[in-house]
Amino acid sequence: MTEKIIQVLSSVIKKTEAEVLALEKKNERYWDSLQTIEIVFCLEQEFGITIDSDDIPSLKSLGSIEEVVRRALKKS
Amino acid sequence: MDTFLSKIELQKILFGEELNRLSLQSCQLAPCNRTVKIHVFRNHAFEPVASVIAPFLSYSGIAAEFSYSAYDDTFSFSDIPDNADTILVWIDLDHYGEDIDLKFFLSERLSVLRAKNNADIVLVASGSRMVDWKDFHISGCYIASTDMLRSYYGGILFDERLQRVTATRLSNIACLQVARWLGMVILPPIFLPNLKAIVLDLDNTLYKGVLGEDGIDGVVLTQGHRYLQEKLKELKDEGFFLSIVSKNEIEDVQKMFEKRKDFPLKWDDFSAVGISWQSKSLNMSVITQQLRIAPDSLLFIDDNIGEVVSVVAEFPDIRFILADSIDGCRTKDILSFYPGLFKWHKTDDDMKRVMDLRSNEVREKLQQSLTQEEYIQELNLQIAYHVNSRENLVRIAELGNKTNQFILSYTRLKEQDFEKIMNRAGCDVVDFSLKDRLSDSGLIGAIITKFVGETLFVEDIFVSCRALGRGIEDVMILKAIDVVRKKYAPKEVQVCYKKGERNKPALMWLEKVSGCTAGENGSIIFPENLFQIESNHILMSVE
Repeated sequence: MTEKIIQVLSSVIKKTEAEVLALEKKNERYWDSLQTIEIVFCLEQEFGITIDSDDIPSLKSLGSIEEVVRRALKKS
Repeated sequence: MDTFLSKIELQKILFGEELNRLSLQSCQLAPCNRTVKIHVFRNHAFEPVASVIAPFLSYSGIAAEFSYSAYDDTFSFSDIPDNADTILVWIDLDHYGEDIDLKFFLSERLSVLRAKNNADIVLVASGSRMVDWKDFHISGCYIASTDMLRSYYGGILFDERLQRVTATRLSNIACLQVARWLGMVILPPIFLPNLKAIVLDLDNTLYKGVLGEDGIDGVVLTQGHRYLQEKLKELKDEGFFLSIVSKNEIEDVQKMFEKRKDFPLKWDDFSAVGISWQSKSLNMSVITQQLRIAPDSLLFIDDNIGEVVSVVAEFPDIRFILADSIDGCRTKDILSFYPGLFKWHKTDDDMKRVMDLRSNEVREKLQQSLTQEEYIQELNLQIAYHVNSRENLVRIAELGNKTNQFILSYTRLKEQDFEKIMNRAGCDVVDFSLKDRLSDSGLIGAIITKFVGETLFVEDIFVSCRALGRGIEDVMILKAIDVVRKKYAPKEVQVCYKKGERNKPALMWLEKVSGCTAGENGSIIFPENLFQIESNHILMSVE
């Protein structure tokens, strides 16, 4: 799961997979709400999940994304 | 071979039933030879579409650079970049109340935009509100609605939860489908000429089975193959030539089309056939000669990868679809999105083109048995000249952008450029249509002229290759120039030219008529006596 999330973040935020490990939304100038939506689109398609709209604002780092995906996987 | 395999791989990703965002973002792009700048005026976000459009555009060799306006429901069109090749108006119609007359509002806004900028305009509307665009026309302005894609995104256009977070409510699947539709269907014909012909294999492509083994009654027209044949027939009616390359006995194939009344396609729907036991590349050469079309304007469809490889090896510029031998519907879906097969404007001339080619065979026979004078007399030729005809703008621009062989200066103007020339003092566009007793060829050529001082400059001449070979090029073109010459009575006529990759026929004509040698580019003076050319037996009119 983590590997796939890293691949998604790397593709959307245009960072190397190593850089993605330490990625924080607040430090990324180009990670805006549209980028977040792209991440949501990719995660939903890759994992076959639906992310709750309340969870979307909390997608801010690799760790928080893992948590949201795990929660969505349990629901699906 | 590597390029070929990557194209096959791309076909799976780009034309697949289910598009995948991550695969699209990470797929290897095809090499691009054209970069275009697209400026987006919007009232909702286009970025989730733009982020996946590159592979679709690159399939036609196009790379796009997008720039964006701020979100603006009023579409004030301030700050238009000067260098935009195309302006995309990306609008969610549900942002407006029921009391707003959207057609009136948008027509007015687009007129303002057209007056401010000469770039092509593409308006793409989303939302539940519909606008009836009937009778709307602004030169170089194209209108589309995402509703056209309803069957592909399964009706799930909007994902309302997104609006709480960002400036769009288009669902992921809708964004992906719209990206494919824009990148492969809607935008390519604005930047590139369309394809001209579709060359089809028969066995396991147009139907299920092998004619030589299963027999005429044994081959199966599945529902999917029926859809495919119907789609091909539709494309034929829009002016694309259909042809066959097949390893079969021609008599068997003819009999099959006669006997199989259930086939939507009939033998007469094919403008050229290359059916024999020779290699398909040899049969393809026959097709290109019969149609007088260069391989880069052909789309070859075959289910056999080996045959596709052999044809592509001989004709590297040819486009191809590896057909699904079982599911004809898959091939039909690929065809529906294949770049170069969508026409923004469907003109009467599209159908005339197909009819005209059929008459060529009769013309050739006549030409062989008669003298040139008898031949012209026999054909009852009629040429109609139109000066600054705004009614013909679409067709003139289409012809000026797709003619490769008989074009002198490659001005490649857009519809809106032609309109401006027609409105400018001293500048004229003369188009000409050709008809004979065998067929109506429609509008087959045009000249662009500018009168400066005492000189008439012929800035470009282009003629469809369909109209060539009847021995009337001299009279047809010189009389077109003469129409403008009579208007201004210039002291001198100078015909401009530019040497290009494929316009040798036009330059040879120029050298033959003028008796001068053409360099890389420049102009040649046409003396007055050239315009005294006889036009016996040709009925001419000027409107």
